[in-house]
Amino acid sequence: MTPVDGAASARELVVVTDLDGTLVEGDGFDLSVQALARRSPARRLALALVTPVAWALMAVRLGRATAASLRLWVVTVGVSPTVLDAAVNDIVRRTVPVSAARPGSALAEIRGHLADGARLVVVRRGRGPSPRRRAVFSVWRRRSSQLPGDRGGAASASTRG
Amino acid sequence: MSGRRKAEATADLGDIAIAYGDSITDLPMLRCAEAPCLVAPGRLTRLLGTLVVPGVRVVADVA
Repeated sequence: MTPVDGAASARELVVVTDLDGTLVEGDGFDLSVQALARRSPARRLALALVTPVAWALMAVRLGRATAASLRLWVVTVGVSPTVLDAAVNDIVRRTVPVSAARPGSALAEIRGHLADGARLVVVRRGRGPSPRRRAVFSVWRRRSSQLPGDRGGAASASTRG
Repeated sequence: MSGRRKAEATADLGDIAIAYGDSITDLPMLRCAEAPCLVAPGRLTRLLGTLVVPGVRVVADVA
């Protein structure tokens, strides 16, 4: 092997991906909020009650982050970090079916990159998520052998397969 | 705006081998990659992707 070959083989494989519509079929945040709400009738009711308010806030550009925080707060308030971790893990396991990815799909390709030792970076829009929202997405990161994460702003998070 | 911020975040990572995205806002990010991939885009996104991102490949589906 020549030095050039060695340099090429040592080069890190970096794979960048968007989240919603690319790793997740639909809106990952919305799917998470709805799944968290389904865990309790009271939270489901609370989410239904605040949703019109959230819609109104969504109409205002600066209100979008508040609307997201409000919906997330309703479904997670009073939940311990351990229970929240387990709940989100369960949701991600069902929402991101990497193990069942169809051949030829983006997920199957990305799973292949992870198996090859690639560094996977999820780049998503949004600015400065709230601590609780960050906690929810950190579970995605922890499931790194399965998939994604979040680091706020024009966020990127990385993981190795 | 978000497309530019995504591209900036991507540029900070160095050499990007492969990138996946599904919308027009992802196109600047895809341009940073050696092997850009559009995931099941609509017709307009597919057309723009072909025009704007050299060598872009269309991946059929998410899952």
